[in-house]
Amino acid sequence: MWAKATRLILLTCAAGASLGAGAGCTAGIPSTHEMRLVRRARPELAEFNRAVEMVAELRYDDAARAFVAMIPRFEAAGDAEYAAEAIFWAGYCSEKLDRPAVATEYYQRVLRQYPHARPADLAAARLRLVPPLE
Amino acid sequence: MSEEPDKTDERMEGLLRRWGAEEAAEHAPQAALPPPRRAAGPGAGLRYAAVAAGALLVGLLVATLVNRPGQPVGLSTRPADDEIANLNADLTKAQRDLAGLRAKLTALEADLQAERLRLQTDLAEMRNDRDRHKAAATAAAAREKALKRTLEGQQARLAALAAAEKQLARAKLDLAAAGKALTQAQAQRHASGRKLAAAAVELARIGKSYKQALTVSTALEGEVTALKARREATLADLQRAYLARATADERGIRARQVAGQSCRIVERAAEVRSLATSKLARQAVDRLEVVLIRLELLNVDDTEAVMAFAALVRSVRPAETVDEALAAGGEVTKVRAWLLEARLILTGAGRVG
Repeated sequence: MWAKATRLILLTCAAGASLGAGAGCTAGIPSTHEMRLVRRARPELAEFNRAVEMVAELRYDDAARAFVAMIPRFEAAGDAEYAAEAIFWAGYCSEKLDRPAVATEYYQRVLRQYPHARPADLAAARLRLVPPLE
Repeated sequence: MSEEPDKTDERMEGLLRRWGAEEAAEHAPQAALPPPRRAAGPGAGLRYAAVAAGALLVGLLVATLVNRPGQPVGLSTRPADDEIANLNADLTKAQRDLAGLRAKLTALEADLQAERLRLQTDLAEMRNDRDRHKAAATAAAAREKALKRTLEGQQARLAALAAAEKQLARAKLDLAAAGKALTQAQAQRHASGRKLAAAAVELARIGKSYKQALTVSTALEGEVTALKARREATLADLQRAYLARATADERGIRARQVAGQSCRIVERAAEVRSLATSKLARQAVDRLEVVLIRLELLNVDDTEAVMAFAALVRSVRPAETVDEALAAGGEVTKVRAWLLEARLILTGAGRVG
C-alpha cells in the first residue's frame, strides 16, 4: 500500500516534469511538500534512514537493534528491497561489533531469502571478508 | 455546876490554842521565806490575815454563846473575865500578827514592784535586743544578697574571661597560621612577580614575532587563496574526470553510483581500513564506507531514498572528513587514494534536493 502511494506521487511528479508544468517538481525531484506526503505515507522508511545515520555515527549497537526491529515490518509489507537491506545492515553492524557468527547469519539470510535483491551482491562480498567460523 | 461544862471549855480552848499554834507554825515559815516571784502576790498575806481574824471572831462568838445565861447546853462555869482576858490576849496577838503580816505584805508589794520594774527593764532590753538582732539579721540578709550578686557577677566575669582566653588562644593560632600563609603568599607573590616579568618579556617577544608573522601572512594570504582556488579547481576537474566514467545519460547520483561501482570502492574499504594508522583515518573510512554502501544500494528512482541519501551525505560531510584525515598525515598511498576517491564521489551529493 505504501509503495503504491509513493509511486503515485512520483508518477505525478514525473508527469509534471515531462510536461514542463512546474507543479512543484524540478527535474523529476519531488518538492519538500511532496516529500512530507511520502514520509507520512511510509513512516518505517524514516526509521530506516535514521538507523543508517546511526551506522554512519558509528553507533552500531543502537543501529543493529533498530534494523532487527524493522525487518519483520518490511517483510510483512512485502518490501523485499528494504527488508533485504535491513538484514544486510544488521549483519554489517554485527560485523563491526566483532560478532562474526551473527554477521554471517544475517549475510547468509540475505542470500537465502533475497538472492535477487541489491544487497545480495554486497552480502556475498562481506561474507568473504568475515573471519571463518571455528 | 457539874464538871461537864468545864471539860467542854477546856476542850474548846485547847482546840483553839492548837489551831492557833498550827496557824502560827504554818505561817511562820512562809513569812520567813522570800516572796514568790509570780504565784505569791499581795493578796496572799491579806488572805491569811482575814482567815486569822475570822478565826478569832468565831472563837469569841463561840465563847459568848457558851457563857450566855439560861443556855443549858455547854455553859461554862468559869468567870467571863478570864475568857475576856484570854480573848484580849489572843486579839492582841492576832493584831500583832496582822501588823506583822501587813508589814510583810508591804515588803512583798515593794519587792513585787521592784521585780516588776526589773522585769519590765529586762523585757525592754530583750525587745531592744530582739529589734537589734532583727535589724542585724535583715542587714545580714541584705549583705548576703549583695554578696551573692557580687559573687554571681564575679563568676560571670570569670566565665567571660575564660571564654576570652579561649578566643585569644584561637586568635593566636589563627594569627600563627595567617603568618605562615602570609609568608607563603609573599613567596608566591615574589615568584609570580618573577614569572610575570618573564611572561611580559615573552609577550613582548611574541608580539614582535606576531607582527612579523602578520606581515608575512598578509603577503602569503593572497598566495594561499590562490592555492585554494587552484586546488578546488583541480579537484573539480578530477571529479568531472572521475565521474565521466558514467555514460552520457547517467547524471547526478546515478553517475556517482556508477563511479563507485566501477572502482570497487566499497570492496576496497576493508583493506584500506586495515592499512589506516590513525584513529581519525579509520573512523573516516568507517563513516564513508556506510555512505558508499548506501549509495551502491540506492534505488535512484526512489526519490525519497535519494533525498534521504543526500541528508546522510550532509550529516557525514565527506569533504571535511577526508581533509581532516589527510591533514593528520602518515597514511600510506592506498589509504590516501581511497579517501580522495570517496571525496570525489561524494562531494556535492548532499546538494540533491
